[in-house]
Amino acid sequence: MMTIIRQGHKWIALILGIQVALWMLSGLGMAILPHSKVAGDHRMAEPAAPTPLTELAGGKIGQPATIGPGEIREVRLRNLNGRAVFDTVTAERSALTSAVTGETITVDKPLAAEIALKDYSGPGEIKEIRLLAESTLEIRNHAPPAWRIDFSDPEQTSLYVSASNGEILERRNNYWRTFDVFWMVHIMDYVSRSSFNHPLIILSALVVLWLGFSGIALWWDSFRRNDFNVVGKWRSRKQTFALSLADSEGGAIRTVEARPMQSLFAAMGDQGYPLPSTCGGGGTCGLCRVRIGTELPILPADRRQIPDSELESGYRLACQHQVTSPLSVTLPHGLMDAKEIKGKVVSSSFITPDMYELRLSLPEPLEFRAGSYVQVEIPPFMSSLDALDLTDFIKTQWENSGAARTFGSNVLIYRTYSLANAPEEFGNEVVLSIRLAFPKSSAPGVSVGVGSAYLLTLKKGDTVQLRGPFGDFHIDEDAEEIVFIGGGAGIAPIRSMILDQLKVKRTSSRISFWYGARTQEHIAYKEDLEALATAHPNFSWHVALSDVPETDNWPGARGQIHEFVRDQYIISHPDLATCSFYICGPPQMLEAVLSLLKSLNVPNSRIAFDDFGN
Amino acid sequence: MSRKISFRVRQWHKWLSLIIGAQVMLWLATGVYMVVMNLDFIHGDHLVQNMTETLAAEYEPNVTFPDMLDDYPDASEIVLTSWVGQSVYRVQSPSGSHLVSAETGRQISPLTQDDAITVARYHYARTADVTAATLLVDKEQAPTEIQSRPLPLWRIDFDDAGSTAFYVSPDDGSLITRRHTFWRVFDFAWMLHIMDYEERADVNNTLLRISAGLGLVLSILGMWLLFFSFRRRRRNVA
Repeated sequence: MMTIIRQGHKWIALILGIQVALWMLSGLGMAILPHSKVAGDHRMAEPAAPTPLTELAGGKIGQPATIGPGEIREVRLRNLNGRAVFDTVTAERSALTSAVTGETITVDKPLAAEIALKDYSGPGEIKEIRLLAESTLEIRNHAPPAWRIDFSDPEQTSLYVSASNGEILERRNNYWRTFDVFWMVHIMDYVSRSSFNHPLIILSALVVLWLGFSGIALWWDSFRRNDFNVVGKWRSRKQTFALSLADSEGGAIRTVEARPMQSLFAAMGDQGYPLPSTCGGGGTCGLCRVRIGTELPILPADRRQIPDSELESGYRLACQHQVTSPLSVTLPHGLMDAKEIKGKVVSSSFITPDMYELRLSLPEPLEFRAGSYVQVEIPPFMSSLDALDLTDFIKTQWENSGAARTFGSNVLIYRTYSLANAPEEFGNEVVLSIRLAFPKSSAPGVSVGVGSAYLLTLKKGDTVQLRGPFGDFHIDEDAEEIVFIGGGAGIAPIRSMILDQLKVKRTSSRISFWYGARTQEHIAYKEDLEALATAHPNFSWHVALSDVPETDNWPGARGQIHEFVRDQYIISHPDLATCSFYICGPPQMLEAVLSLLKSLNVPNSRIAFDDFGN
Repeated sequence: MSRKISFRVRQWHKWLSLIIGAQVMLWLATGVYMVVMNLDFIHGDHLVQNMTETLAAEYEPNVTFPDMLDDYPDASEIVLTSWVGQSVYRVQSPSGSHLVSAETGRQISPLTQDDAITVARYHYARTADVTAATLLVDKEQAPTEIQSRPLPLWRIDFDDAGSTAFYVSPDDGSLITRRHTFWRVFDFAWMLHIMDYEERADVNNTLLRISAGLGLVLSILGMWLLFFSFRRRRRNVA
C-alpha cells in the first residue's frame, strides 16, 4: 500500500510538481509585495474635502437637457475637477454634459491629463498619454475607451482615466504588474487572468490535494518513533557507538564510530563507507540491504525489499534503521566493491519450458566467486506477449490465464540473478539462467514476472546494466563432503559451484547434487551434469520429478526433492557431520529442506542457502 | 557524493513536510473549495433580482436638481436613480448620505425597519420569509461578515437553506451586500488560505510570508528528489 502511495506521490509530483512550486512561489510573491503599493495608494493624492456643488457653479446649475430616451440607470450631478457635470449612465456607457451650460463635455487629452495630475502624488511627471480604444489586461474590468497616462516615476505608474466620464479607472504600477503575473500564475488563467473556476485549475487542485494527502500518509512510513526523541538525541549528542563492519566472509572487520540517532545508512556514509542507493534512503531501491541482526524490528520497507528468509536471518535496509546502540553490520560480500558493468546480449534461448539462458558479453572477464549473483537494472518499459518469442505451451497458458497481454514497469527496478557459469568458464561472457514467471491458468490473476519478462524482450546486441558481483553463497573451503540440493532455477548457482569445484578447484571431496524438477523437460543442464558425473568419480547427481503423470516414461524417482534426498541419502548417511549443505530453489522447497536438516540437528554453520536462484 | 545529497534532501523534505505540511494541506483544501465553487454563486448572484433598474424613458422628475440643491446646499454629489421601483435622489453631503423621493422631495432616509425589509424583499430572488431585521450600529456587535463596511446597516435575515442575510444601508437605501452559508465558508477558507485570522484581509502578514517561503522550499526539495527518484543511470559507486 505504502509503495503505491509513494509511487503515486512521485508521479503526481513529476506531473504537477512545477505547478505546486509555482503556487508557492506566486503565493509568496503576493504575500511579499506590499498591498498598498500594489493598489497604487502611495502615489495617490490625499483627497480634498468635498466641495459643495453650489460653490462650483455659482448656483447656476440647471436641469439636464433630457433624461432619456432609453435605458438610463442614473444621472449623477458631480464634481469633475472643479466643474459641475451631469454624468448620464446607461448600461453601455456614460456621457458628460456641463451642469451649467448643458454642453457636451468630451474627456480629451488635456482634460485627461488634468484629471490624472490631480489624482497623482509622487516624483514622476507625465511621460506619455495614449487613448485606448480597446480594453487591456490592466483595465480588464472596465469598458473602453480610456486614457492611459504614464508617469516617469521608478515604479512606472500608469493612471487610467475613462474617456467617457473622466473617472479614474485604475492606478497601475510595476508592483501591480508583478503582482498580476503572480496572480495569473496562481489562478492558472493565462489569458484573461480573472477566473479561478476553470477546469484546468480545478483538476490541478484536486490532483495536488491528493499529492498532499499522500504526502501526509507517507509520514507513517518515513518517520520512526525515535525521530521524535529530541531529549534522547540531545542527551546522547556527544556519545558515539561502535559500528563493527564485517564482510560476509567474516574477515576484514573494521570498526568505526557512529554518531547516534541517525540512520545506519547516513552513519556509514559519514564514516566513509557509503552504501549503494539510488533512492537516497527512501527505502524503495533495496540497494542498501545489509545484515544487522534479528533483534532489530522488521519495518514495512524491509518487508517490501527483502525476502522473508533473509529477514529472518537479520537482513535489513540500512536506511530504515537508526543507530541507537553499537551494531555489528555484515555487508554482503562485494557490496563495497561492487562494480557497474555494462553487458551486451549475446544470445537468449530457452533451456527448459520455462527457463532461459541469457548470455551476456562484458567489457572484460568478471572476477567472482562461484555462487555469486548480479543485480540487473530493469528500466521503465512497456511490452506485450506478442513481442516475446515463446513456446506455444507458455503462450497458451498465458492466454488462458486471463492475465493482461501487456506488461511493463513505470519505474526503475532491480532484480538479482545468480551467475550460472563458473568463473572464467566463458572468458568475458556470463550466463544468467532465468525462470520466466509467466501467467498460468492454474493461478489466475497472477501477472508475468516483470524482470524475467523484460530480459526476454532483449535482442542480440542490447545492453544490460549490471552491478556486482555480490554473494554470500559460496563453498566452505574445508568442506569434506558437499551436498547440493536444488530446485527449478536454483540450479544456476549450483551449476556454477559444481563446475568450479570439479574443474577449477579440482577438489577430491565427495559432491552430490539432488535436483528437484517438475518434468523431464524441466531438467536443465542435463548433458553438462551427465558429462561431469562421467568424468569425475567423486561427483554424482540425482533427480526427482514432482509433476509427472503415471503414464510418463520417466524411469527415475518421483516426488518432492526433500523427501527424495532424505530417504535415499541423508537417513542412511554414515557421518552426516562431514557434510556441508548448499541449497537453492523456490521458497517452499527451501523451507522444506531447511526444516528437514533442522530436524536432523545439522548445525546452521553447515548449511548455506540462497533463494535468489528462483 | 550525489547519494549523500539525495539523502540530505530527502531528510529535509521529510522534516519540512512535518513543519509546514498541515498548512500546505489547508492551502490545498481551501484552494480546492475556492476553485470548485463558482464565484458568482459565492457572491450570491442567484439570490438577488432587480439589480439594474432604469429610469422611465423621457422621465421628468417633479423635483429637479436645482430644487435638490436648494434643499441640500452643501451636497457634493447628487444622483437621480431608481430605487425599489420609484425615482429617488441620493445625496452625498458632509452630514452623510440621504435618500430623497424625486416625486415628493420627502427625505426617505434613515430607513425604518419596514423600509429596510421592503428593500431586502424587493431584491431577494426567493420567497423565503424574513426571520429578523436588525439595525447594526455598534462595531463591536456587528458580524465580521460585513468586513469593513461602514455602519449603521440593516441586517435582514431570511429563512432559507443558506441562512441568507441582506445588508441594507439605512442612509442611501441601497443593498450593500448579501451573505449566505457558502460565502461564509468561502470567507473562512480565505482566512485559512491567507493566514490572517483576525481581519481576514491582510495578505502581507508575516506568518503567511514565512509559511509560503517554507512551502516553496518544500516543493523545490520535492522536485529535487524527483531527480534522484527517476534517474536511470547511476554513477559508479566504487
